[in-house]
Amino acid sequence: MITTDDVEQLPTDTMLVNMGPSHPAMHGTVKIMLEIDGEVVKNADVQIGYLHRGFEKECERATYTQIFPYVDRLNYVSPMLNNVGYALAVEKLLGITDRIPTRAEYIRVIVGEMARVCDHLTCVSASLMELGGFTAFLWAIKARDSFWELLEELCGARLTHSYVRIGGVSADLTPNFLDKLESRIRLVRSLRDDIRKLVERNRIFLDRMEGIGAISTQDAISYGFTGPCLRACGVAYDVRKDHTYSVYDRFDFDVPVADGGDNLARYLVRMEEAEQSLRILEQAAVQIPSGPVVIDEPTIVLPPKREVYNSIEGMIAHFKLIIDGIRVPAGETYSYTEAGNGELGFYIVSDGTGRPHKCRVRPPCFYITAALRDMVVGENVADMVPTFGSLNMVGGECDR
Amino acid sequence: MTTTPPKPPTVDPGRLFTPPPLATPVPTPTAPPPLGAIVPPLPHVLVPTPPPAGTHPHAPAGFTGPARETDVSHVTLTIDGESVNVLRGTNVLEAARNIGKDICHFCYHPGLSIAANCRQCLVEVEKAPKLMPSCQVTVADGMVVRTDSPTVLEARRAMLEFTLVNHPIDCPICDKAGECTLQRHYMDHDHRLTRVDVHKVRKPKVKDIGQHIVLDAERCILCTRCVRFCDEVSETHELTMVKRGDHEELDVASGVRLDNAYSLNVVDICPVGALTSKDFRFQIRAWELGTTDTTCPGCATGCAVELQTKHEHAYRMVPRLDANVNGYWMCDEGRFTYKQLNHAERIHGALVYGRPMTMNHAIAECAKQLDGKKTAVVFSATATCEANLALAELANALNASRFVVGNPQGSGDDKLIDRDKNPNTRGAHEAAGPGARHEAELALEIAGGAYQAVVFVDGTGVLSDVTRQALRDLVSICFADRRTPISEACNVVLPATNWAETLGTFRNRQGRLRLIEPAWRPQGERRPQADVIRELLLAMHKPDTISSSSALTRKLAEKAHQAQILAVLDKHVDARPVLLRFAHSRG
Amino acid sequence: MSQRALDLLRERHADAVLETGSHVGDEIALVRKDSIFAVLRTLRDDASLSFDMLTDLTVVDYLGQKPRFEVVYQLYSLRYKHRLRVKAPIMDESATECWIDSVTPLWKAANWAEREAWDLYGVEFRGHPDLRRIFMYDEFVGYPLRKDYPVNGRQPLIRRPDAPPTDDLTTRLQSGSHDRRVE
Repeated sequence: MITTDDVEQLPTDTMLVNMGPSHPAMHGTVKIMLEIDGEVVKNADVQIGYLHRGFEKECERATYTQIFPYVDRLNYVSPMLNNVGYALAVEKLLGITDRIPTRAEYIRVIVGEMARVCDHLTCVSASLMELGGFTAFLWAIKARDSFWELLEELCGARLTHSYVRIGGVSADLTPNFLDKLESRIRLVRSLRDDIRKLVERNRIFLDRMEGIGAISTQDAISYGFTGPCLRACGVAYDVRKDHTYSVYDRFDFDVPVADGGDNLARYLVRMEEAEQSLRILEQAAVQIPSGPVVIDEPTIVLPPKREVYNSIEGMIAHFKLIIDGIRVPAGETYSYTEAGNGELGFYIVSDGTGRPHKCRVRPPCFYITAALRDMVVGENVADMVPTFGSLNMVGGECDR
Repeated sequence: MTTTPPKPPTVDPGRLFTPPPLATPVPTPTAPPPLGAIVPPLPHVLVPTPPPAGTHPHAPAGFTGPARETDVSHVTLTIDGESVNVLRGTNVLEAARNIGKDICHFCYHPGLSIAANCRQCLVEVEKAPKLMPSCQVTVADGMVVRTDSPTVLEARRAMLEFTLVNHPIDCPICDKAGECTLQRHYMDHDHRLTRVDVHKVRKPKVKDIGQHIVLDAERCILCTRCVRFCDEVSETHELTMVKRGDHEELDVASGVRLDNAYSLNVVDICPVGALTSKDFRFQIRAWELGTTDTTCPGCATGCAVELQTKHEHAYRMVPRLDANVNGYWMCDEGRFTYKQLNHAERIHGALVYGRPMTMNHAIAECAKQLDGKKTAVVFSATATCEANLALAELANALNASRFVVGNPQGSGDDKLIDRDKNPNTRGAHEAAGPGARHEAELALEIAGGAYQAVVFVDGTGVLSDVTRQALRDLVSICFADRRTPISEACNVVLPATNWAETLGTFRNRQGRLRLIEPAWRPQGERRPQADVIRELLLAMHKPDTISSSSALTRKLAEKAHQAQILAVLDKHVDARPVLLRFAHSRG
Repeated sequence: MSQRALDLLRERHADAVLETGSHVGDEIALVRKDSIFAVLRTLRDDASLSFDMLTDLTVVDYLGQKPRFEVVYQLYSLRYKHRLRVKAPIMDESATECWIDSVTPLWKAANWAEREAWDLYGVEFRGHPDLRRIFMYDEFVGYPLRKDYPVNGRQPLIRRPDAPPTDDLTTRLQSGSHDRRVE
């Protein structure tokens, strides 16, 4: 019979366990080499890059408008927010930020916040699914799909929208869009409440999320956290409030902040933010004015098709804008917006031609995933899963 | 900034170019220019005068301005508030270019006479009652010119509107799209939509007017550049404008076709897609091409050209400005030399007695075979100076007999086409030295069994069948980039870079050093001949007197004081063609 | 907005600051690469500036110009809500020039960001605790985001043991034409 004394004398060694890159709980593809001692993680090497597709290199040879499909595929759970962030960066370099029509700004806010709701619900429910709460996941997918159907009606794709353009958006809202939006907001809100009721008093859920994967505020700031992960550490930093852009100053919404920096805090922040986004959506749907959806500037915006097919001037303008791209004055800028994961920045260096010299994405979840090691060391192996899930590391954004 | 080009060396007929007396009279396909011949200077109309000293430092490189009297006095005028000092006789458009202001224009071309019919270059000149065409107005002391006032901008837009009234909506099917001056000026200066709602005037489209040229009369903007070219440069007077008003169109004179030896130049100077090349039509879009500055290998003139390529495939060659050699033009024959590069019969790897081998093994094998054999080395007038110089080192090391071969002579004219269809006759003869002999003797001596090994620096040359047969029994080594009769006849074929993969020099008929730059990296195992010969010498344990190909180029450039070539060498990059989509427009 | 930061920098590190300016509302400081650590430490620790977050770290390749690279730091202060961009020029890609001090001791965010810059541009960050590739696989040769690396360059994933250990293999494989701007 093995006694406690025997156990203390048994030689032990740490074990190297490889999680991923193909792993049901690894969102996107990430490989984590864990060194574990029994159940406790002693060290972790997070290896990303499995979804590296050369976004920056491709952007250097694409025109500014051709980059929109590429940015869609960054944080592919909330592509509209990437679209909007990128468009704002180029508009800042062009100097036309205050000439964007108001209706276009409102449309951008509406689709952006819809994307944000989808992003948060997906993140939360996926981690719930990994904890075993499959029902919550299905409800969140139902909520997400209702928004995606609406976006599909608007721009033709559920996920890879490429809807925003430099100077506005590519097309106006479909008729009855806002009425449908209203009913779907109600649906999403009720589903969100259902998920909360199911989960937030659940013993298993609280045990697995509370106090797990904690990071101190100081570390979070040093790591460059932004977005829900930073707000879960108690820092009330939201780009929409602190450096307000577009028409966000016209809405009444709160920025939820939690303490502790653990998984539960991140969960709570995301759920509450989804509610705030729904509030913004309701206000925007009411406030949105009528008007053009794209700036009136022939050097930036394609001429109407009637002109393109029937006049040489329209043909030349269309041709050169597509082939040469929008000529952005030489210079550089760093423009930042609040995306699903935090401060999504675009550092664009232009050389005066229609293609950027460099288009750098500041990916919020890259800096957050860098801290994963610090979050899981000392925890159990099983806690890897909810911790990683709560970071919302989206492979497309982290690896580009 | 251009350096003063070296004066062409005076030819010493006695030393270099006397072919030795021959045993049997044979046609001299590769004979150098006859005794006493001095290379003629190019006619005035094709070579604008070199840039005078003292032009503004912002002058674009290579710009020389129109041919004018040699009056060196200067004039100071003010353009947009900036003071400009230029030679008397310059027009305002060139003066503005000196300070970096590009006044839009269609009909003006520095290599042709001034027509001032497009009226696109109108500027405001103080004290003049109307706007003046800046291409026609000569600078005067104290003149004040404005190129950006509201009147001027409105005039530009109005002229573009007029030009576009009857222009067909052809951009999707027009070759010039992407490098079209009309597109470029519209995007830079005019963004107004059309005010016309009637049908446009119809004119002949896809009209075959010459061996190489197709005319689309609707696209023509009536600038008459092509008409002036045919009148002044090629002096063949084939093109003319017929009818008038809205219906004015370009046409060939009756009974005549546009068939002169320089016809494809009109495609380059046409600002729109009215005149297009049959060879290039619909092959590829202009913005996909990358361009490399190089030299035409068609004949001994060595025109400065741009080779336009994409992905190791050449699509066309267009001339570059070189005031000392070819001006703004090149001949049609030279343009088509790019087709050699797309030759299907390419050699990528070494073949030793019919067996493919890696280069290292092949070189070792050659070293073994050449050891102690009586060798003949054959210099080539189509190979670069570096290849020929390296071969000379090999000849020294092996104490070999020297021969020079090349392409047979063809027909020439007094403009740009030279009878000698080899780019590097002078370079080959310089490297081979005074005792070099020609094809005929080579054939004789091979037949006579004088040699056990023959080394060809390049696959060019015309040898009879008998000689080629005889090569099979010797150790015959040939550097080649594609299969030619000589490379087929040789037992060992070593892959060499072709002229689009090499950084090297030719010496043209004037004795100038002409640079060729690589448009793509050498494919397969091809390497410059000089580098391979160097390794061969090392493998044969001969003294290492040879430098690498780029070092040889540098030495040649330094001797000839060619700073431009040295600047290219200093860049340390290989094959970086500039993408045309960053180059605005051509023509 | 961060004009104060620029003024303070010019005061305290007058010899390190090459140029300061502002473009479309962003404040930029160009700083000598040898003093980058000292400058960034001042920016982080000074109480009136308090740039406690390194938002982004990247490299820009200006092939054909000297300096060739610029290491760009985007700094943000959560306290004062101001931003600053600090750039350090690197002359060329030679081994003696292409390095800069790591700022991992100042911000933990620099750890992965510098690994990425090393992986994609080949700029060595001296003092980095663990400078290895982050995106590309270990057998990869070259630095893909440099302007002279072809966009459609291809490399074998598994290298043959007898293949030459240099970049020549990369270039002799199917390589397309390179991009180069002409000014």
